[in-house]
Amino acid sequence: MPDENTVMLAARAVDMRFGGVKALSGVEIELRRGITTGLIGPNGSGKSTLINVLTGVYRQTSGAVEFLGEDISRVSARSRALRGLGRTFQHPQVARSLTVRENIAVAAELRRHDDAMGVDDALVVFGCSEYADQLPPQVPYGVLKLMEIARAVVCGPRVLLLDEPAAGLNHDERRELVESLQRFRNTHDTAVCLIEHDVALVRALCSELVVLESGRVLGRGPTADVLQDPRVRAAYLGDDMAESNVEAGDPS
Amino acid sequence: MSATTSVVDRQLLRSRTNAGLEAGRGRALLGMRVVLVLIAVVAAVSVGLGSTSGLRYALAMGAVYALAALANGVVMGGLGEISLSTSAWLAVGAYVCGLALEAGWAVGWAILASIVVTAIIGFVVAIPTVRLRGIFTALATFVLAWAVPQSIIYLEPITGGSHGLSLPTGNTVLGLPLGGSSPGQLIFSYICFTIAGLVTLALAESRIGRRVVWVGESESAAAVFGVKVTWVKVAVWTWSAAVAGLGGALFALTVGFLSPDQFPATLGINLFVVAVIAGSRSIWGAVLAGVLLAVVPTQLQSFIPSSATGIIFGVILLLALLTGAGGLAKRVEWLILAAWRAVRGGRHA
Repeated sequence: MPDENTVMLAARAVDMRFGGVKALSGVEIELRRGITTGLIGPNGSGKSTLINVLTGVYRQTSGAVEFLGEDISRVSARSRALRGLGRTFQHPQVARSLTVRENIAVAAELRRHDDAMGVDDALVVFGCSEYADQLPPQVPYGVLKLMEIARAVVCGPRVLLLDEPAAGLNHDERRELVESLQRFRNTHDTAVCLIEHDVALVRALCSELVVLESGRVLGRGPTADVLQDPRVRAAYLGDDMAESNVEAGDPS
Repeated sequence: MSATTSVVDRQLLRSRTNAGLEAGRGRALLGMRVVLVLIAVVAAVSVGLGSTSGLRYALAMGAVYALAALANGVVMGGLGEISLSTSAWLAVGAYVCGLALEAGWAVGWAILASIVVTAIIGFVVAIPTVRLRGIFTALATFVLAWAVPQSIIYLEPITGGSHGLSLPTGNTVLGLPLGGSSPGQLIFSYICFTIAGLVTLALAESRIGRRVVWVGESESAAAVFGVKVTWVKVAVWTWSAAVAGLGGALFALTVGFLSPDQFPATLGINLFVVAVIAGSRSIWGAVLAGVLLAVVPTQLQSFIPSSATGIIFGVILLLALLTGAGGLAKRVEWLILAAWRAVRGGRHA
């Protein structure tokens, strides 16, 4: 088994071009066991592209993606999933004729090991129990976002990539999201990477931060340090950081 | 059990049955749906046994079209794809059965050959076509529905071409004489439908069926989670072809004569239309669809000039379409559940 703080998934000097547009250039990122890493940056900075490169939806133009030190650049998205890469989508992608429970259960059937969280436990941890037997069209948007995380978690991922889990959520749903992820973090040492815009939420959940701007890494390191970096503040955060407020716990 | 628990239980059950009604699937309504399949089949057989040979023959053809509608529903209800090629699978199944009977095979083996050959051809055709989606799937299946009758003409040395193929008469299964409007054919056809329908229902409500729905409704997510979506789709199309192949075999046994113009591409479109109107996820709805297609136009001819039956049938289908997604089956199930709740609610109050 990998030790604490082992690098589970890494991007090494990743370049990604779409035609003439350079979406990522020389991006380095390391996702460690037991660590929640925030990935922040303005719209169009390459965050979702990076997630798609890491999960194998896109193949990078150059550079490498490593899983536990092994180059998996040529491994398909499906095989990466089976090796332990779990993800969610910016817009929930769910089967509308399967109940919330079934949407999670179909993924649980693909799990690689039996010590992954069970479907019923995941429903509780991610606050979906109340809606377990309902169909997605009848369920609040925030619950669907949490359901997506539960669906990824029941596969027993070793790396969990969350693409804007808080986008479109209201204040209460955001708090539920933070609490759910903290409950999960308390019992699991999965490497987590989450794309987020809300600095307060990032502060509450992420101990490490990577800032992307125009496809380049602008800053990285412990969350508090990165958020104090003048370049990061100037480029992205402005001075309104202090105004964000999510009443949630300490960084995990 | 305290009063509050029982209220909570009832609400939970209600949300499950609501979801089951809305989705057209789910374990909560499985029992009711099995019963409805049996009721539909028994009703069709009873009416057929007690009526004129003309209506009995139409109802026997209803079982053939019910299998075709079921085959259509497997693709539409499972993957959300439009299949217009069910008439082609019926033709393949019918000709395989016909040729096997001509070669002296027993009825059981001839039917099995129809199922297997149609499934194999369905499997082979599905491998390239599952890469298509939506309107392109519809077009590809339409081309198939158009090409198969042409191929039958082209293969004249084997199939008899446009002259047709007369099948041996006097076929029996377990002592039951088959063919035409014989009671044996009616009973046997609906037994075949019931087996295929209940197996399909069991598959749909199993892990396999859930995975199919996942692929059909959220393909990219299923793929990212490690599902082999191509093979799931190929399996669905293969199952659909096999079910239609069984329908084709029963067509051959019932009609006793085969020619390419019995399987025009318009039949594929009609089957798709009635399957959707009746409810593509509903097994008992497939009986409804089959009977609708086989019985209504022929019976209308007793009341109105035959040139007008197409118009009247079209109006009936249009009115049925107004019942919306889930089709007539969902509407009827809703009525049954509402009546059931009214009775139960009355008892609890």
